[in-house]
Amino acid sequence: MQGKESLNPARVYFLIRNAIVLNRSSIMFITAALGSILFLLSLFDAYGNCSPMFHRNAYLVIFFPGGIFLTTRAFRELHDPVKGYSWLLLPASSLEKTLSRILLTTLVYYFGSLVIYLLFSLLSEGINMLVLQRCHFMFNPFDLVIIKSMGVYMAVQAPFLTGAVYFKKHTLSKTILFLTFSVLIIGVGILIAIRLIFGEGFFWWNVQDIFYSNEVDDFTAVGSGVINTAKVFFWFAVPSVSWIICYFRYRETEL
Amino acid sequence: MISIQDLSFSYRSKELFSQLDLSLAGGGICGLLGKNGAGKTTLLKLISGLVFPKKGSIEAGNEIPLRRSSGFLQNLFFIPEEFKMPSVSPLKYMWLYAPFYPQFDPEKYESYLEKFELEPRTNLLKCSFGQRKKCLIAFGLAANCDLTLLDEPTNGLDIPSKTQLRRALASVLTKDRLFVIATHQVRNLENLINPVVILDNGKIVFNHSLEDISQNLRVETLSTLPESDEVLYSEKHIKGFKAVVENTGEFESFLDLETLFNTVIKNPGKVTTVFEKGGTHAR
Repeated sequence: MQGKESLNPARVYFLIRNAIVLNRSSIMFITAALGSILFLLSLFDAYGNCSPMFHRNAYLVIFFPGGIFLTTRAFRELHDPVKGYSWLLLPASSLEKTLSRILLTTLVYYFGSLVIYLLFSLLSEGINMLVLQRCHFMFNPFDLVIIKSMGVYMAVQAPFLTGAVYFKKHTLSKTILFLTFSVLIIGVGILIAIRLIFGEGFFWWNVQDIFYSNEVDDFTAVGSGVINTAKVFFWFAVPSVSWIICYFRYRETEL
Repeated sequence: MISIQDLSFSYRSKELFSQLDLSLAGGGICGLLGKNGAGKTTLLKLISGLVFPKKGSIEAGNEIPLRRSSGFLQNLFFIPEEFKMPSVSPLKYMWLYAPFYPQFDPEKYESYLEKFELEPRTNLLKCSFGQRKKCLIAFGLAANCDLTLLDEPTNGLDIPSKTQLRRALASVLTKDRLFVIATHQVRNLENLINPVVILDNGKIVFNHSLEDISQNLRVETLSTLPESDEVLYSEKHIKGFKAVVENTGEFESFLDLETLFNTVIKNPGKVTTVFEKGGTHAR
């Protein structure tokens, strides 16, 4: 009982369930609005060039911005001076509450958006067939590009979830601003480090020679190392560090 | 149940509490009284872990509130003065939040809704502020938490509801449950509160049971006020003066909470001396 962090899957489920139930009207309105746009776009495209990748591209165009928007609102209750008390004092540990928001904005959103998009795409193609007697290729939720997009989305959205805990207002713009400055600072730092390591002999036009070898037509050892480091950084370090910061920031939040 | 030691707290540069100590045992309805801005709500927030102390320690039910562990939160229910309810019915509210409280009693909840004359299937957003508050109070009482904090619970309630609240509070009191009620409307909860805690100038200036109060203080009606400083507090009324003095006799005397509050606020030092001299049964 001495304040140990607990992780009860049932409570995580109830937190996610409540978030969906309490925001059902907003979910329905946004879904209906996006669905209507999809119907129209699908109809116009089917009438025009009927592009084979229409549904895959349309899904990705909706999936990424929609997910980021949802993520920036994930901790909205926490920053509301009147609602905040009920969220903070709801009997669930900080870990359970943070985890519920991570799952809600990643897996639940991903699978939910896939199912809803699939239904809308079927409906829109039915209409296209009735009106134009032709339709796009069906939306395939198991398309490798769609599956990979989930991984990219998880890495991209994690810093926005941290921003959602940190910033009370203008979460999206403040997070973008913060990320831009961070990338700039890291970039300048790397350039200074390269200059220090390679010294006077280093010229910016030598960068390609350092990373890529024309003789073997492949990356050099340095190039491979940098690319692998960047991959690890993007796929693992960014989301995990962001979620950890998010958790600790949530624990520190006062009303 | 609650133990606060050497607590300091400030909002930016404004110091609210300094070296505050408070100890409360379970099994009572503690009335937390204080002037506007004395810090009653902030003290409730500190006890619940909504804000963190700058210095000192707080323990509530053997837990440290600022950790906000699930075990601690399952045994705490906070009814704030201002709140928002979701767009659901009282029954749906129970369906949403009762799973988080292992000791929640659905039958009790429904019986409180009935006593408070609340329609279980009406959307809370269509209800008045008072009705929403009654729903939250009903839920809080049915949650069976060891510690229930209520901030101005009678604000927004009509006269019958205040009576129902008093009855409900009296009926749920057990030796393990502690209710802390921060209020300035002391008359509404007059016969229910015990012990009485008074907060002034960032410190607990009074923390005594009703028994101690009636043993140590007495109300007298005087035609004129004596020159000596034996009168701790006085109010002029039709028959002369209503005066609060030290109870030196053997008989217990009844002192209403409003007069007690005014006495303590006006003369905290003298009141402390009277209680120290007379011996206390402080909780």
